[in-house]
Order: sequence, then C-alpha cells, then structure tokens
Amino acid sequence: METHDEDLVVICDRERLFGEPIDDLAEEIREEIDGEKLTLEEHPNGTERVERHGWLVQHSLWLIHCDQLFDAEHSGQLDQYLTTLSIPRQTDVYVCIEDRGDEARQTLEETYRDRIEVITDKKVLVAKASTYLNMVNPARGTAGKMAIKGWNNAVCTLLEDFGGVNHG
Amino acid sequence: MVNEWRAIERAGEWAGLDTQQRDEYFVVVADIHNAEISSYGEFENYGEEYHDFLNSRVFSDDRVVDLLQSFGVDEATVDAFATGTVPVAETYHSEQLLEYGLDELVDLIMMLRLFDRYTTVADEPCLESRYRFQKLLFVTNLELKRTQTGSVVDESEFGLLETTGYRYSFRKRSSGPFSRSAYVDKDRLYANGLVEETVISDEGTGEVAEHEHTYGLELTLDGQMLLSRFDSVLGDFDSEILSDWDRAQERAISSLAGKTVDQIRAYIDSETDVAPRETGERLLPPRQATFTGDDDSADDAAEVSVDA
Repeated sequence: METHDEDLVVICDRERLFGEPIDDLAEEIREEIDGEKLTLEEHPNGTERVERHGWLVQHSLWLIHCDQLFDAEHSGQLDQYLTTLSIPRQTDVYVCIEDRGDEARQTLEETYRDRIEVITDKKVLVAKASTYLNMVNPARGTAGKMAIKGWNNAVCTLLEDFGGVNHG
Repeated sequence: MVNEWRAIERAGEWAGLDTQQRDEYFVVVADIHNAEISSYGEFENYGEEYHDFLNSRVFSDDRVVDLLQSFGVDEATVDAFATGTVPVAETYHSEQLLEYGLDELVDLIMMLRLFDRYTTVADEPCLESRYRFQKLLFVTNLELKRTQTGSVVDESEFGLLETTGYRYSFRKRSSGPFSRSAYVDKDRLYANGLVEETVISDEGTGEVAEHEHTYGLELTLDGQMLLSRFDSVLGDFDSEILSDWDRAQERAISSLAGKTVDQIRAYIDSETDVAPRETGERLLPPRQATFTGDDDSADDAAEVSVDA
C-alpha cells in the first residue's frame, strides 16, 4: 500500500458552506495534505444516495449540513447511521452548523455525542479533515498504513454484518 | 487504538477548554501538527511514539502555550503543555461505559479480562476469532455450572447477580453455542474503543457474522487502561462471585487455547450434549435472574447436560 485514495461524501443540499463553494472547501483540505501518497476525492451526491448504506459506508469522511439532521424529511436514515454501529468508528463525520449558534451545537452533541464533529467555521473543518488525512496516510509509514487497514477492516465487517447490500 | 487523531481534541478537553476555545485551539494545534508531522515522517505506531511526538513537537509549541494562557487555563495545565508532559493516553476516557448498570459492567469487565488473559495464556497477539470468543464465554458458564453448588447472592456487593457468570444464554446455531447478547456486548466494547477487531484471515469460521473472514479481537490501549483500573479488585478477588467466575474463565481459556475450530467443536461435543440438540434450542440459561434480551429470556428449555 504505497498510495491511498480517501473519499469525502457531501450530504448537503446547498452548493456553498461557510459562504464558499463546497468544491473550494475540498480543495483547501487537499492543499493541507502532506505528500503525494494520499488523494482526496469528493462525492457531492451524498444526499441522493443516503439510503445506500453499502455505498455510503465506504467513504471515510462525511460532510453533512445540519439541516439534513434537523429536517424530519431527511433525518431518519442519517439518524440511524449516527446512532447505531452501522458506520466505522474511524469514519469522521463533520456536521456543519454554520452560524446556527450554541443551541444547535448543543442539540447535535447531546444527540450524537462524539460520533460527530460539530463544525462552526471553515478553518475548523479544514483543520479537522487535514489532521485526519495526514495520519490515515501511507506517508506516516507503518502507523498510517495500519490506520488505513483498520478502517478497511471495519468497512468489511459492516458490509458482512449488513449482508453487503446496496453497494451501488 | 483507533481515532488517534482525536488525541489533540482530547488534550483540549483535558485542559478544560470550552467548545469555542477548543475550536480555536484545534485550528492552531492542527497547523503546527501538520507541519511537524510532515518533517517527522513515519511512525511505527500511534501509541506512545505519537503521544511523545505530540508532547515534544506540538503541545509544547509557544503558540499553543500562549493560546492556553490567553484562555486563562490554570498554571499547572499550561505547564504540562509547555514542558511536554500532557498525559495524552489518560485523556482517553471511557465514560460511556459508566452508563451501563452494575451487572452489565461486570460482564463487560470480565469480557475485557477474557481478552487480556487469553492473549497471555495462549501467547497470541489476539483472540483469534469471533467463534473462539463465543465458545470461551459458553465454556466459562459451563465450567461454573459444573462447579457451583448454590447461590451466593444476597451478601454480595453485586446484588443484581443471582449467581456468578456471564448473563448470556446460549442457543444452538450451526456454529454451535452462540449468544446474540454477547455479540452485542462485544460490539459495545468495540464502539467504546476498548476492543479492536481486525481481519486476520480471508476464510471464515462459520460463526455468525464470520462467514467470509476471520476476525482477531484484542484490547485497545483504552481497554488495557480501563482494565488496569480494576486490577486491584480483580487481582485480589476477595469477592467470591468474581473469584469463582475468574477461575472458571481461566479453565475455559486453558481448555480452548491452541485448539483449532474443529477441535473446539469436538471439545464441546465431548463435554456436553450440544450436538444432538435442535438448532435454535437454548443450551445454557443466563446467570442472572432478570435478563431482558429477546433471545435470552428465561424459558423452560432443558439446560445443556455436561454429563454427555
């Protein structure tokens, strides 16, 4: 394992977060990645495929806008993922609340505890994602490769436990 | 350990920062971290080596120390950052575990001890399969059934336990004795970061959720630390309940360590009358009077005979 591709799934109906196009945010995260052994691919269509557990679970970074969790129409499936053992613990889930304030943050943290990272600022998002990507990275040698392997194994376990359905 | 990248955040929590301060702290620390990790290069592990890296090259940076001082963090905590002595490993709390009842906690602690003792006795890096894990729990309760003569409840500090042993009841599956509740509790330990599961073979054992791969189970650093907190209790075993339970578990480990899946199946068949039982039939009841699991509810099915 000399190189590795990480996947960022965007579960958000908006084209901009924190006032910036989501593409630009992803690019800012990429710019902070150390070396060339790891790439980050962005998947903007998460909202359309949120029911497809087998597909979603194979993305190690989730970028969710809080409306997706606060809106009853959308929240059911995501709520289930975030409150059960249906995604690897190693997966980082960023819930962007933008300027919704402390109440929104408190509600999310009480509901989903440390399963999610509540993000209030673009800089925090880039800092969290880049820290993750600089550790789960072949450039970190044995430790980085083991971290990748651990995540892969967790995905395999989940797909096996859930019957491997809905991969597409 | 997994989610090692959370160590930075945990150190911020340890410093007593509020949520807004933690965000500001994280941005500063991540900037230093990403620059330093690039020059550091490769790590053998994300345990002690990474914690030393955080202390020596990240937390002790003047920008971090200045920021903490500007937040009004107490002097001793700031000094721990400045001198690179933040107890990173100890910041990995397992407070979620404390949400469980005492009876559940005893099961979970004994399960952690099972992982620890098995790897020691068997001289293996991990407990080598979910199959072996299930059968070790079953044989532990079987050993207790063989040796216990009566209840030791009411005087015990563990009043919720009617008698000693795991609360799981086992039903016969094609793979032999299996407890769904034990599987769920193993997942709880995994979800709390206390146990790690890794694929160790691309061939399954035939156990539930282990048809295509074999999983090795081992304590994480968090799990080891939590277990170590109970060392004084577990080491003395002045509790008759835990003492009996631990001895039975030790015998189960000795009986199954080193055996293959087929040998374990043969061992259970030779020691019990599991083989002729119907699939789905209950083999051993739970060791607790009031168990709530669906498949573990008390019924009138005959317990497995150990005289077969």
